Amino acid sequence: MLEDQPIDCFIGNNINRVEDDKLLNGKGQFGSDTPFKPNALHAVVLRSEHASGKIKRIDFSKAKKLKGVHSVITGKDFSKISNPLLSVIRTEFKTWCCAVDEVHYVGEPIAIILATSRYIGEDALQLIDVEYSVNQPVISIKEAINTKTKFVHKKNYKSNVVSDRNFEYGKPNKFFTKSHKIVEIEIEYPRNSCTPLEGFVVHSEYDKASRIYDVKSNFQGPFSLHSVLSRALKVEEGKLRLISFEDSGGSFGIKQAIMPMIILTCLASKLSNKQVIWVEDRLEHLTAASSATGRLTKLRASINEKGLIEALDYDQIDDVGAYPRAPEPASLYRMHGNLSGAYKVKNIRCRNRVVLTNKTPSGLNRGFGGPQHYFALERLVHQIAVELNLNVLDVIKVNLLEKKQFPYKSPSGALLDSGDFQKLVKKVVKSSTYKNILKKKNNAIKNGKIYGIGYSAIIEPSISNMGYVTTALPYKDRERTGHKGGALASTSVSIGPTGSVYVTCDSLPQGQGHKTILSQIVADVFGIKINDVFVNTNHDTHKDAWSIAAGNYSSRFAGAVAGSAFNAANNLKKKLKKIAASQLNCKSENILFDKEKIYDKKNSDNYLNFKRLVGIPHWSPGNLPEKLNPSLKETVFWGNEKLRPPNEKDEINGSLAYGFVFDVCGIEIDPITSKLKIDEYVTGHDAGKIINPLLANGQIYGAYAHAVGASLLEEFKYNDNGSFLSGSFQDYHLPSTYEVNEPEIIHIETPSPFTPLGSKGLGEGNCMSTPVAIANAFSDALKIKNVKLPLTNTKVHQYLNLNKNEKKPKHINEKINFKNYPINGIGEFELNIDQNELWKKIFDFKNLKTIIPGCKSLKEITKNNLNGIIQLSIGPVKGEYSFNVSIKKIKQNKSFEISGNGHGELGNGTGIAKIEIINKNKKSFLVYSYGAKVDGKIMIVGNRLINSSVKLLVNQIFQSFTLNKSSDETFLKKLLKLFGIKI
Amino acid sequence: MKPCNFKYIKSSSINEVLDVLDIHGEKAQILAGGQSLISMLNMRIANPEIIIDINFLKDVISLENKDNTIENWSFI
Repeated sequence: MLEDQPIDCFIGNNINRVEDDKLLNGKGQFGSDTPFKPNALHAVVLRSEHASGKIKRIDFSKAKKLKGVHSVITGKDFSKISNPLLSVIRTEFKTWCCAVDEVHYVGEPIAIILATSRYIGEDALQLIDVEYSVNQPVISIKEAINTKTKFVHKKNYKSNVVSDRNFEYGKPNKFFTKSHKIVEIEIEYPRNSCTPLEGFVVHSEYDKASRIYDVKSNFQGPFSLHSVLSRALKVEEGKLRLISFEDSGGSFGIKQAIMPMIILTCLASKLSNKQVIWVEDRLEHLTAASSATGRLTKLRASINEKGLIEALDYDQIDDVGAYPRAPEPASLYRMHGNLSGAYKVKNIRCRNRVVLTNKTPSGLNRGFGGPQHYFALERLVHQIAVELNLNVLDVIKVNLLEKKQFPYKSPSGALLDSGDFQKLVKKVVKSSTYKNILKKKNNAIKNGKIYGIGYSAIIEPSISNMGYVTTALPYKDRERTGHKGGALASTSVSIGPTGSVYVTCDSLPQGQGHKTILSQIVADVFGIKINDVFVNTNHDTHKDAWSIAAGNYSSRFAGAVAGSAFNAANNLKKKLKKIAASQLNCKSENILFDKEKIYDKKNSDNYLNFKRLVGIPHWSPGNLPEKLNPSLKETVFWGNEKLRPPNEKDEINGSLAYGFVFDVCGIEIDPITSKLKIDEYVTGHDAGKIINPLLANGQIYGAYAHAVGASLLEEFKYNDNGSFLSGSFQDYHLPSTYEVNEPEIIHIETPSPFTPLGSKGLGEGNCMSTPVAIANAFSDALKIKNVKLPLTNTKVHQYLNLNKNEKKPKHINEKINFKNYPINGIGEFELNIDQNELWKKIFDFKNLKTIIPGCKSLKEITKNNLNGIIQLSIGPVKGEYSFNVSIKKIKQNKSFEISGNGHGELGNGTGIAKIEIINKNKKSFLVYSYGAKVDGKIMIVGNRLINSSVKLLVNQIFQSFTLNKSSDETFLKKLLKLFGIKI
Repeated sequence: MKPCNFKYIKSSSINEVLDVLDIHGEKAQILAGGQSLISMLNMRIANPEIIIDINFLKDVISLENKDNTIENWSFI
């Protein structure tokens, strides 16, 4: 009758999230809901408007006079009482959290204003005047590698490459010298992020008496960064106490990057002797929080005639932004152990370089290194099929590892724990979605539609080895600094006197459902109700067990943390069995826990209630059998010896568990609207034992939605000037239900032999597999090799029109070079008025003032040098700008040049224009070309508007000159308001 | 939300809205749905002196059936 398993088993079943009632009813306690002291000060960050430059002068005088402003703290002030950030890669320059003298990316903190309210702080911010001497920034990876003159950190460096390592596994040279065929692919993966709902929030307080920094924040780990933080703050470990907020509005990794702001608010608290509060806004988050790395990869494969990959040759370059902030260059090394992906290839050569650019430093982001890595590998597999004229599915099948090979040691050191790739591929291929995709492609070809199919087969690593990032260092450096490898997960389970069970863990949930999963597991072990388990995930470094691996990242929860909870509960169960055996007068191996009762397996009438049993150690601790310790608290630190430091051959088992994801998608492209539609998508997963399919599928849907965003819409854009162009959701587009179709999800379960429950992570897989599946489908649809994400409508349009030449104006002087002006254009008009009249019109500066709407004043200071003030607006954005322009190289009735600059609270701009009057075939033309660059807030949030408006506007102005009638003032007025920083 | 200091007018008629706009011009800003204005205010990109809230303006929240045609105002 009674089995040794509880009858109502929660593990493996769809259990509703226990967290949701509170969250969906608006009762969540997020960072901004958390109370702070009434006399706390609010921090506002002054940020750099320029990507590269020297701070010449900062004028705080007006800001400091504002009532309610406590103080303004600069980078220099901070540097005096702190250490620079430690980084994995040693650099000659110092990584400060707040710029000292020089700025290196748009959004870099320059100073912190402390005020009695955020409102006052923001008022003060608008009163600060910063003067820079601006340098030309390094923006693209290619530029960073190739330049001989532009360096992100000029003072101390002669190169932008901060790490350059070569690896060789097996005998790649042997194959590349005499291969049947070599297939090559070059990819560029864009910078993007997973943009959680909630931004960073931190409450820091320095206690003068105990000298302890008390920090409440939404930092999520990894707690290896605790050492980086305490060292920067110049305190011993225990004097930095990190506490998490009650609830989290999501992270997807990026909240790791709150680290610098923890430091700055702590130091600000020490200096002000008050609690300091900082809440990030969306503009700050998109501009300066963090980003996934951008990557440039050249990948070559030596293949045989069947498409079997014999050897791979990677050349990978990661763009980590202006500082290689810890844990970078982890993005580049997380996948190092599984460079061979899901495939049999034994021979690999790899060159890894880390470059600096004048962009926001990169950091954790869902998929971390996986999207970049598989984009190259899976595009290559697709290309192999194209070049050998084989079916992609056949090429994948030929290369996939076989079931009998597990556990499989990859050439670069990953120990792939378990898998049955063929089984999952078979199941996906049998799905109705896959059959639909094939059918639709056939129909599309018949009907002249554009349809493509894309595949991807990837390994999804989870439970990171904390030592993998040290693979970035040469072996002798690792020898010197001490080898690092392994990862621990910890959970505490305790039982109260009347049967409530308490669980705490070292993972800080960001919305995944930790409370549900831990309740399920612990309730199963003790045979009790889920409601009797109380999970508290508020982590506190002064109260909870933690190791450097603690935190919420690398999909470590299901495999490692939940596993440690299972072990902790089972350890307690062993003790309870002994107590129960003495009470029931039976052998402890015959004790069974089920339905809140503890039975003698042999006689089900012989039982105790769970509540009664657990009360015994509380009420009569001296009365336990075998002199058992009465403690009903068990803390388990679980780890696995398979995670070792990288060895002398640079082999690294970067993760403990490796899932498998196999995706197929069908996309359709509308040739008229250039819209790419994901028509059908099937995603197959093997993540070992699934604890809760409902939550597992929730993770897959979420990762899929993120991946669709990354594939079609999302990119952190910078222009050549270094201006950040994606500062609001107007310019950084997120996918909505309209873009995200529902994929068919298929599971198989091949348990991991290395985790307590056999579970592996599955929350990041689609971030790795989906972008490249979509890109492969796009490549298939348009028969093109170079596919660059995101595939926005504009980009799809460009791809569709690759071979069509754009119409160019006829009379343009092609020699004009506006390289340093990201906003530029050319145009021409046939003159309807006399050339002399035109000339007079242009050089009549009094008239010019009336032509430029919003122009409040215009004065000729010296000959052909003008100063003025202009009032401008873009939608609700209004501002006053002072500007000066000079007119040069005047050739009467022939040509002239205008150059100028403007300065206002929302931004600065400079511009140049060349105007020529050309006579051809008895007709006269006004020909113009112009370039402008704009910096500051206005560009970060309004670049799309500005770019298109400037083009329209300039066109309109010149047209107004050429017409012999009064121009349409209202239209011109509207347009000119959008422009104005130039002229 | 951390906008600049502004005067808030809860308008009661279209004429009032027009009067305010006439007197204050570009210093005044209409708050309708607020989808773009609120975030612009939050980021201090828009810094108006006056906000005219038309959310309670009955004139623009009407839906009328007139001679078999439906006349609706901007808020519907």
